[in-house]
Amino acid sequence: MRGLGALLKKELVEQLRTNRLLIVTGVFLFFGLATPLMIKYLPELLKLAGTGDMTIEVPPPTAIQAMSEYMGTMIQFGVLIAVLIAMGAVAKERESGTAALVLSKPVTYAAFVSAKFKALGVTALTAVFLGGLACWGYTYLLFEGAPALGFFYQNILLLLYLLLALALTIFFSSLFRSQLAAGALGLVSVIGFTLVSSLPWVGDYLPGALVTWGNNLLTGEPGGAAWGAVAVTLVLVVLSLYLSAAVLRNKEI
Amino acid sequence: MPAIKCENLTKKYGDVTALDHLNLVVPSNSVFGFLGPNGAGKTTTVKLLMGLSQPTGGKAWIDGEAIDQPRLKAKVGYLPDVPAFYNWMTGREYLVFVADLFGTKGAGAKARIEELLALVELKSAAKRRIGGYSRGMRQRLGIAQALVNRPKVLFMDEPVSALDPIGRREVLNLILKLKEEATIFMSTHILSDVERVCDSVAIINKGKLIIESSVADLQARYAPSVFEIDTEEDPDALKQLLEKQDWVIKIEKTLINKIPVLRVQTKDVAAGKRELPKIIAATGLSLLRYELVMPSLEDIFMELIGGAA
Repeated sequence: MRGLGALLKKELVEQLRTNRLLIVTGVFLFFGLATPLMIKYLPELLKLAGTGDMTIEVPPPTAIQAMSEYMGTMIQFGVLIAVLIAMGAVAKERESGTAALVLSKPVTYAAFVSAKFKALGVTALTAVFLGGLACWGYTYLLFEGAPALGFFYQNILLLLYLLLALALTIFFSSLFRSQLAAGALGLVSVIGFTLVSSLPWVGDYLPGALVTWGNNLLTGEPGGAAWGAVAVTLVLVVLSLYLSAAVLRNKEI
Repeated sequence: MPAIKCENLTKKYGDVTALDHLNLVVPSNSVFGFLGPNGAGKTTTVKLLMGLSQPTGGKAWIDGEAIDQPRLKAKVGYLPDVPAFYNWMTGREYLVFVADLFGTKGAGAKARIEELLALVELKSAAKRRIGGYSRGMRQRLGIAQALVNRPKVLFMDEPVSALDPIGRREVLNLILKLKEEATIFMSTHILSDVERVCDSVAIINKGKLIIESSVADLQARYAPSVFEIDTEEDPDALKQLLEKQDWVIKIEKTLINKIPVLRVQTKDVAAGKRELPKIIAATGLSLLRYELVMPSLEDIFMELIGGAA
C-alpha cells in the first residue's frame, strides 16, 4: 500500500483541522454525560410534570438502565454519525478534483481508501472511548454498581458496529459520485443487516447480533456470545474496503 | 525513445467515443501542444495517460513504461485544468504532503519546496490557507505541486488559462526553461501560447487526431494561404464581395492603427492571387497594402477543425 503513511497523516490532521474529531467526540460526550443524569432524575422530572391527580410509579433507576439507555442511543446516533462523516470520503474528493491530484502521485488506490477508513476509525475510537468513559464515570458517581468490564466490552462491540457502518459507506462513496447516494445506501445497508439479524439461526452470524451480545455483556446475563457475528463483521469491513479500492481503480477520477 | 507513445488509444463511454484510436508520438525534451475545441478529447487523453481513467482500447507508454505501471507515477507530473486542493491546508503544507507522497523527506524535500514556492511566487502566501487563495494562486500552486518530483514528463491541462498576462508570460517562460529537463505535454486553447512555446502540436477533434506535426512544418504546409488587405476606406463592400467567392474560407475585419485590415484566408491561393486584385479594383477602394502572409496557428486550427466538423 504505497503512500499509506503520508495519506494517513494527512487524513488524521484533516480530522482535527476540520473539527470532525471534535464534533463527533462532542456528541458522544454529550450523551455520555447527559444520559445517566437524565435517567437519575427521570422520576423527579416525572413528579414535577405530574398534575397532582395522577400518580406515576417509576421504579428507582439503576446504573444498568443508564448505561443501556446510553448504548441504545449511541447505536442509532453512532451509525448516523458514521454514515455522515464517511459519505463524502471518496465521493467528495472525486467531485471536487482533489482525488485526481493525489491519485496522480505514486500511491495505490488501496492506500487511498485505507487511510480514509483508518482516520475515520480513529475518530470513532476516540468518540466511543471518551463517550463511554464519560457515561461510566457519571453513572459511577450517580448510581451504585456501574459495571465496568461488561460496559467496556459492549463499547468494543459498538466500535466494531460503527467501523462496519464506516466501511460500507466508504464503499458506496467510492461507487457513486454523489455523497447523498453514498450516505443513503450506507445507512440502508446497515439497517438492512440489522433487520436480517432478527432471522433465526443466520441472524446469530450477522452484525445485528453484536447488539444483543453487548446488552448481555452489560447486564451480566449468560449466553448470546456472537463470535461468528464478530468474524462476519470483520470480513464485511475488509471486503468493503477491498471492493472500494477495486471499484475506484476502474472509475474515472 | 519517445517521451510519450500512444497506439490506438481509445476511450468509450457507452455509445460515445471520447477518444478514437489515437496514435501519437511525443519526442523527449520537447514542448508538445495538444489542441482541440471543447469536448474534443484533450482532458480524456491526459487522464488516460495519467492513469486516472482506464482505456477501452489501445496502449500507451510514457518514458518507455506502459501507463498501467504504478512506478510510472514517480516520474510524471500533472497539472489539471482546474487544480483542486484541501482548503484547510496552507500552500507549504500541501507541497510537503505531495513531497511525502513521493517519499521525499528531510532537507532535500524542504529545499525543493522552498525553491518551488519562490519559482511560483507563493513564498509570502505559503503560510496562508489555500481556501483563501485566488484562482491564479491556485494555478501557480498547481504548477509547483506538479514539479515537486522533478518529472521527466509533465502533463499540463490548460496551464495558463486562469492567469493574468504577466503570470501567463512567466509560466510560459518557465515551460521553456523546463524543456531542458522534461518533456511537456500541454493542452490548451490559447493558440498564440502554443506558437510561442511548442515545438510540435497535435490537433484533435471529436476524439480523432486530425494532424500531428511540428509547428514550423504545419505553418509551412499551410502557408501561405492568407491575404491581408489594408484600405483607406471601410472595406465592407470588399468583404461582402469576397464572402461570395468559393475559394475564400474565412474573412476577418480588424483595425490596426485605425486602419481597417481585411484578413482573407483562402483554400486556393492561386485563385486568390488571380481574383483578389480584380475584386479590389472593382470596389474602387484606395489600396494601402496587399500581402500574402504566413497563417497563424489559429488560421490553421480553424481550417482543420472546420474541415473536420
